[in-house]
Amino acid sequence: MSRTLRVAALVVTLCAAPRLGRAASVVFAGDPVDPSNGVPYEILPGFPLVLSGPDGVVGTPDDVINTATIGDIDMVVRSGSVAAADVIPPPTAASPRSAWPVGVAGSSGSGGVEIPFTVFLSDGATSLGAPFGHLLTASDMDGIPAIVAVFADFDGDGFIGPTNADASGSSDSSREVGELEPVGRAVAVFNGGVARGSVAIRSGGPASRGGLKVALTALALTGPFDASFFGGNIPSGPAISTALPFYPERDLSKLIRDRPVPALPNSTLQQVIRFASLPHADAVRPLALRLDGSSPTIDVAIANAQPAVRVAFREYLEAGRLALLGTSGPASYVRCHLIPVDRWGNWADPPPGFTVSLHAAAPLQVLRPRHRGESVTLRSSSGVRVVARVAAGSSDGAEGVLSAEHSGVVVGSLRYQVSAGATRALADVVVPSIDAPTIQAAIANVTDRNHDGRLVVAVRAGIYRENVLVNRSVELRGDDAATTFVQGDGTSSVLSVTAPDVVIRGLTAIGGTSGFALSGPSTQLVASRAWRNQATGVSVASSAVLVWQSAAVENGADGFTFNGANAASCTDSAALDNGGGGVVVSNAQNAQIERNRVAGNATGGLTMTTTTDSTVTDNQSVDNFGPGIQIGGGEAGAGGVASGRPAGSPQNNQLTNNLSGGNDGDGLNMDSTNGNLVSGNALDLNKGYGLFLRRSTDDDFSATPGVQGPLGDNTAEDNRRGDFFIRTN
Amino acid sequence: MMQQRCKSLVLTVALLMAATAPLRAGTTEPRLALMRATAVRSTSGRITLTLEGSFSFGDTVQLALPLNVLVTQGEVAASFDLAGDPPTGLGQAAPDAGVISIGERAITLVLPSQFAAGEATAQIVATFDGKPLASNRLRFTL
Repeated sequence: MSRTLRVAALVVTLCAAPRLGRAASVVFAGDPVDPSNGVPYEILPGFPLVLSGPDGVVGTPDDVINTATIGDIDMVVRSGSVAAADVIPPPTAASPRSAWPVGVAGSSGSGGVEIPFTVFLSDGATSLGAPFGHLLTASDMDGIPAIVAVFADFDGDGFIGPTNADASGSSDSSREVGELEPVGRAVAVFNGGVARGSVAIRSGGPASRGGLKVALTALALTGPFDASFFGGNIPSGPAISTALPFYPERDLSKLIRDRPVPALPNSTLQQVIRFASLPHADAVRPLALRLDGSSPTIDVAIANAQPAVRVAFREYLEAGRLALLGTSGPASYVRCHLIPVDRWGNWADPPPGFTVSLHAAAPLQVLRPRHRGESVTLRSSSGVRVVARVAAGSSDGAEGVLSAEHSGVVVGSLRYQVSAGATRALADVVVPSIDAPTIQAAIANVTDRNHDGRLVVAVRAGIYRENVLVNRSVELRGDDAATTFVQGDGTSSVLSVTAPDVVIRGLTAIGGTSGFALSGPSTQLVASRAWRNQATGVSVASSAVLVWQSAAVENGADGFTFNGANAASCTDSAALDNGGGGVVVSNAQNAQIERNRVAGNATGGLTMTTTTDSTVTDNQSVDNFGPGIQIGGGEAGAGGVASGRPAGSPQNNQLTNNLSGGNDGDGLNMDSTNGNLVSGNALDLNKGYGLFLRRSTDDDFSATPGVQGPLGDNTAEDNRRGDFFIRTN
Repeated sequence: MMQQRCKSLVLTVALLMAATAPLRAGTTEPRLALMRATAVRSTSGRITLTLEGSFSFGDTVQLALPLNVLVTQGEVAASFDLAGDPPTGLGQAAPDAGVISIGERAITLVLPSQFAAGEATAQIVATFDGKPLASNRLRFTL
């Protein structure tokens, strides 16, 4: 049995074994059970029983829905520290029981005020006198952790999650996807059917606008703690929960990347509540949470931002985001709002007399506010409108910063880069439209209506549920990867490119077996994202493919793979928190892997096997669970899992100026390599060796003339097993 | 006298760094790593530094982890806390300096005026479960 298969089998065993034939908590009394194993079904309260189909994912078209079986109330959460009583009290949003608890964003160590909560187990026996059931003092739940997750209503429509029931209808559903990520989570432990605690949150709104409404939800795995299930650290029984704005991911192996630890109020907690698939905004029974008190199992609170200490360019809020500006036309403008924000990045009220001045490095010119370089007072949370433009005739590739200064220091900045490619060609067709209701229809039917020699399909912000085959040389141009989603059905890649010279911009691919499968030569993937796909995020298997300013995040296997992709490049991109490696290059020549951020990946950061004449430079590979950078076969046991890859003989590659630090394996692991240049790399604080070199010949560890041995001009400090180790066999 | 004070402060910070280095965050502890630094200079020369990395943001929020960012440049060393208070370790007040932004993958801080163009390092240190933890030490150019 291969190592991979053994690991997979172990995970399956861990997940399945404890669920067979074990006693259920009394909280499930009277609930429907799976006849195949006697274990109670997991059903959201008030929703029908939904079982995943062949794709194994709940919330996708192949689900099996049993409308005759409806989930009852097993647990509720209330904001505030509420006294235990036989009849579970209503949410604050629905009664005058008390004012809504108000928090201030941030941790208590940084000026925040936490929101108290109380979680009750319910017997589900609802009546007019007890519409939320009665307190269930289930002793077998004593000591079980309840996880409270808080979601924020960022668009203020009174719902959490995508919905067409709000005033904006379907026009903003994709923007509401951002509400599905918790803004805070905490743990409390059940005792006598009640768990109390408080939750810190990172989001708030300007107090002058009533703050930010947030929803408190809760989830718990029922007991017991079986030693064979994640080391006995996590209860192994079925989950119970309040209403949630999505069907939750239930494959714990996807949620727990680190070694599991008991969930306690003062322990670290991993990402244990996240969606299995994007919920439908127009479902018959929408999952979006109502915040008007009508959702019986959840509650609400208000969170205010802290006082503003800096400013942000609202349309470019994502940290480190680069504005790509064209050399002419609309794309050469920055049009945004400069808003006051608090230390946590929340939209906030400015303190009195909060003035800023704008400064732009050439070739960007500030057009508005008109008195550029002079102070502009931010009088309210609305901020001021900013317009800037790239000067005519600016060269491709020019870079600079638009900055805002307050009291002589920069309190907000936006990096920009001028790119001829960002100058947008006119669209030949827009999705959705009568001519093109789907992306696939647009690809099939687009013609060069404006006679510019290009086929351009503009995709408006939205959620598109389709698997797309790009078999014509078109440009797919989404509004923005943060708001333009293509959700696959889990049976194939979300976007499969087979034609040459395809350009994909500004799209997020989610929910497929892989996100982007790029097998057409000279494809460009720009400013796009592969997010939470079952296997690889971006799979490249053709020559001269360019990946730029894109990201692979939280996919089930590797983030980016380049297999047989000669002259491919992956630059200025990010591979974060994927279930395999971050960037994996194999069987390739002349690849360029430059300026990428690679962090939190389960089996390692950057991996190269059987790769020649390639450049790996200026990358940062940190905090991965295997080696930071691995070239060749790998050492068994050094952070480990990546060593299962087949050994190759990478030759004549240049590995320069990379940072590989804080990884669980080696900083740089080289096995069976030959004639590579390894220079200027920083290999610090890894749990394995800084540099591990094995069965390698003629590698040069310095940029100076002549072949030098390790460490040469590389640095290695504070590595747990040692800063370097060399073996000949 | 001033130089001696600076040296002793640098020594103190260095000892703190040395003490924390072998105890880098383990698999069940908050994960701390720095990967990239970007400096922006104001018209008056003051430097705003953005550090990108990975530092268990969710736990930082809920557990109020006492994270500190240590920035050193030659004999100048400053320790920033996430509450935004003026940095310590300089021997003189730096009221305009401090952490101005905490995000999921980035921390932004305004450096005291003692920092100038040139090489510098940054490191995150924290205390968890009674133990000191530290990130890798990031080298960069201001």
